[in-house]
Amino acid sequence: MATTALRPAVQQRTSLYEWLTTTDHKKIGMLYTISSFIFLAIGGLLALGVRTELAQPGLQFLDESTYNQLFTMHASVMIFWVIIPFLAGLGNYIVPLQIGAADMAFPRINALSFWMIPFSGLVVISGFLLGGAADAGWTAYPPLSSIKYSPGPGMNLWIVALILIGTSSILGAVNFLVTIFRMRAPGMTLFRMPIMVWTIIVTSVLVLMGTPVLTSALMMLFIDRNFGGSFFDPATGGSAILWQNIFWFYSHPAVYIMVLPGMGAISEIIPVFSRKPLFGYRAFIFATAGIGALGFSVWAHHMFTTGSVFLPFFSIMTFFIGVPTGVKMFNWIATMWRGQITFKTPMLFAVGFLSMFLIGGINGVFSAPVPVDYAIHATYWVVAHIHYVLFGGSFLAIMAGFYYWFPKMSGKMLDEGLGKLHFVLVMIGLNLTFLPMHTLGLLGMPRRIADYSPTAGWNDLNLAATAGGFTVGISLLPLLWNIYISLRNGKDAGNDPWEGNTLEWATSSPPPAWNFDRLPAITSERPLFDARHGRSGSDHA
Amino acid sequence: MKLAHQPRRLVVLLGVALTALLLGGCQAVGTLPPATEQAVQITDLYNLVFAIAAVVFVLVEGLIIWSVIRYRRKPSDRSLPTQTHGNFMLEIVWTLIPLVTVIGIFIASIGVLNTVDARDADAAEVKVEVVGYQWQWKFAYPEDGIEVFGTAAQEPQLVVPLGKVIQVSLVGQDVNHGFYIPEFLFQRDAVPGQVNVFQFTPNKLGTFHGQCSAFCGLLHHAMRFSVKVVSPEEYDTWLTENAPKPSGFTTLRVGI
Repeated sequence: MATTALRPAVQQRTSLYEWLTTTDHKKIGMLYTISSFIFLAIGGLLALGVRTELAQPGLQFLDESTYNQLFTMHASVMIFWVIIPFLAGLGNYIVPLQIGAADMAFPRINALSFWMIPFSGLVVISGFLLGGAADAGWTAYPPLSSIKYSPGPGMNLWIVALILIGTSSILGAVNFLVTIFRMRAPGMTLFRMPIMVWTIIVTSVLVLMGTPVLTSALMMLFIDRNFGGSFFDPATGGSAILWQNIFWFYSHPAVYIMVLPGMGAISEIIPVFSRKPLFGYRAFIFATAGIGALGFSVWAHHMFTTGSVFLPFFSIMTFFIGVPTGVKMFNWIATMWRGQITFKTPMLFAVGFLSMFLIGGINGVFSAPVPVDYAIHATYWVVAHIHYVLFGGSFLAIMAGFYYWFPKMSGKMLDEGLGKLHFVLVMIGLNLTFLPMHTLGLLGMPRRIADYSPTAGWNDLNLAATAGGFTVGISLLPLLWNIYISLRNGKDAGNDPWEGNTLEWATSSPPPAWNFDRLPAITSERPLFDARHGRSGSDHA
Repeated sequence: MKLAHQPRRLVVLLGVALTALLLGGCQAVGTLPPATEQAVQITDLYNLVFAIAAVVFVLVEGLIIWSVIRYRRKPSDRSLPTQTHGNFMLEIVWTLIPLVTVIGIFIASIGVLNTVDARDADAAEVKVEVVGYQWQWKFAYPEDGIEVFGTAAQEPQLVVPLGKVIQVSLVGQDVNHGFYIPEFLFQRDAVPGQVNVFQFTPNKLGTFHGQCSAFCGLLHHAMRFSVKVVSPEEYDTWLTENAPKPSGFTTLRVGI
């Protein structure tokens, strides 16, 4: 199965051809990361376009049509071409190493999963050059997304691109599951797996259960638009609300798809930099599985104001799903408690994740009590919420993981000073952008508006949010410079620069094509800790 | 070890971030003053949730900051800290406390929901029909034969009497729209092919801004309207003044 990786291609020079045809999970993992950074730049510029227009009332820079394309594409690109692939890329690089395998189970399918991402990304973005990108919001609610109200080519391109990226996710999920269940090293029992691997399992199950459902909805929309179907057309017996049910059946779990692997990365980083094991390893796994299971029973909380939802059920389930998330927060804090914490950049981002994701959890609970949701639904409160979850949560976790595993991927250390500068700028920027949005929401500013009245009282807060947005944009510059100079003259990382716990630190940095020459004994979830300090008191439970 | 000076810098950084956070947070955390009887209840519920949320935030953020400051590694820390793997009782406790808290909020919210969503057709004193279309609103009083159409130049106004039960039948004509009045702390979607009915009781005189909240295409931002709450006497006068001529409906191009 893993013959490709075992091929003795040891010291071959890595030409462009080699990168384009590679089936090595590590190279594919890095390709995912590079692709995600490129799409991050695109998605970020789209966001800055939105923020620039909203800095003051009146339409100064964009017309409504362009504005609608920008916010639609910002959300679509960031969700489907940045956060999900970033995490899939980290998983791709790290999971086989953490379970002591030589590669993913299906290396060529792995390459296919990756290459569908840049290709589908080009498809969705090409709308800008072909007469207008998709502009019905990333949620694409019919009837607005129907051929009658969105006649441009952008909507069709968006549907096709999403079907492609969904297929890529499904292939990736199957690959992860087979790899994890079939290719673990001897001694690596399920309850000795790193938490990162567990979160990838739950995420893959969510993808397998959710993504095909989204694909079916996309196909129905495509049929409605192009072949005269009437799935979602109320005028011919269809239902506009049906789309919302199917769409959110996937897209709510998608939030967990975007957060769980990040939680996995955080759960690797905090123990290492606190010199303690993760507090409540098993409880953490059950909480992850619980979030995954409950994740499929809360979708209609996005639809409380439609008048077509059984409200009490979806309300109480939404409350419940906050509980396992809270449990995890306590687990992380208890891990730091009485530890010996060092604040290298990965740990800074991990602590940043804890503080910001906490806000994203708390401001989300406001949508669970239905009457409060009536007041804040579709306002900037919700924009604040989703960005504290996906930016303060997922993205900070991705950055923590990137700083943590970069030495393994490249063999070089990143500069700590530039890392800290990045951290400070991003923390200031993200709070300056998204905190004021809570107030804007309470003051009645709906999301997705291109313009607002100068007398609405929203001017100052919008200006602050725009200043914050540009701060976030600038914060990426020290990161990129850091990557550049560290790859050129960074300190050598050695096998294990952080005193890590898990198997990826047992091999060289970067690892050889076949990953390991030899593996340490695996008798707990921290094999390297055991090798360093002896077995005493290292097993959980 | 050059660990010693790094944590201090971190504390400063966290301090800066937290100050920015608190300054932003204190700016405005309450709802707009409620203008219907239903909105008063929603405000109370919001305040309850906010109070609990504030306690949780301060507590958990406090624990994070405390751990970060108190448990940073000192140069003297050579041997490992105690390797604690978990504590079953503690984990049960910190699972149950959030569980009980959210069930409590849920129960409180259901009471409010029953009032806010109450639809007693017999209690309705004024019935209006609201239609959302790209990109304006139509307000109709079928019992009095009055229709108000909004235009891009003049946003429409819904006139309702103070203290009466107003029943709205809401529908979308083309795509989904959202009938949203911030000071009513309320919105409901206007969906094509589905009539949504809700009631409210204004308890405050004045003119309240409203706006479409469900993204509906090009001029989504321009779907503004207002609700004017007048005394019952004024409302009767308004009805008489705008009553249709015997030939049929009066169509108001502008509000009053």
